[in-house]
Amino acid sequence: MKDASRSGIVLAFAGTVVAGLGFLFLFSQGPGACPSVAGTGVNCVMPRSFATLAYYLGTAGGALLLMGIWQARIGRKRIVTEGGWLVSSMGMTLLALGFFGSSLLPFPTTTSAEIGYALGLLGSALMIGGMVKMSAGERGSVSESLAGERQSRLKIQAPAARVLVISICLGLIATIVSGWLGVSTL
Amino acid sequence: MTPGGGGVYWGFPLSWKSISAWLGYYNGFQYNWPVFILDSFFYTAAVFFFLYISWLNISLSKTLPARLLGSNKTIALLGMMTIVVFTGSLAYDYSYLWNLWG
Repeated sequence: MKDASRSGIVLAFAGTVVAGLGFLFLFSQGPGACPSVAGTGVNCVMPRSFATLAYYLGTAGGALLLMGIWQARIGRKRIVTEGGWLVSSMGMTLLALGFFGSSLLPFPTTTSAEIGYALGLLGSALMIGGMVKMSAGERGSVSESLAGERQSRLKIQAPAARVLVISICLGLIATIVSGWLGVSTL
Repeated sequence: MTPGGGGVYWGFPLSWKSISAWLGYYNGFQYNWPVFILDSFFYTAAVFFFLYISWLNISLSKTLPARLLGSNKTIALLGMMTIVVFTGSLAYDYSYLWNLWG
């Protein structure tokens, strides 16, 4: 077995474990926060940090799983570039909706957290899948791009300006995300 | 606990957003944009270092990360994500504040 395939299987397994942990974490909360309304159909408010953690575990799990499948070369020859943007956009939309359900609602409930977890899992997998389609098919199908791998090796360089732009975007996102961590002196 | 007043501070490593209270009255969100930029420098430097080192290691082969980083579409997607996260965060602040007052 090639190293890439082996690391892909490890990645996919790690993704399954992470997503499974998120699932277990989410459903282990059960009606614990408000047992008196369990089974009555009344939504129970869930701590925002729990819902957010489950969402991120689902997101990381879905992304890792798909990256693992890609790296393990499972069904790689069937991937075509068409629709990559659409798949990626759908993934990002689902991710945004999941984030809304688990983190942005004024009072996340168990139901919204479960929906957020599922959307995070699916959204991240779709987003990575779309990016894989886009990158794999820059010159047509994956098999074609793999065949032309040798010719294009020397074309890829590390332009500092491109890395800087990507770093600024990611740095801004990280700063905004850090703004969700609060310290209270009240 | 701060007698009479206090607040909640957001941001890491430096707090660039806060909401203060005095005798039970909330004064709304305050944003410290210079500190926000300082925090951004911190994260940008960390990401730049990581990415550049990674890129140097992967640039000799046509791996998936190298192609993703080298694509203009990646930059477009990241730019869109930055705008969405930024505006979403501001929208959340306003809805949170509205909820707090409501």
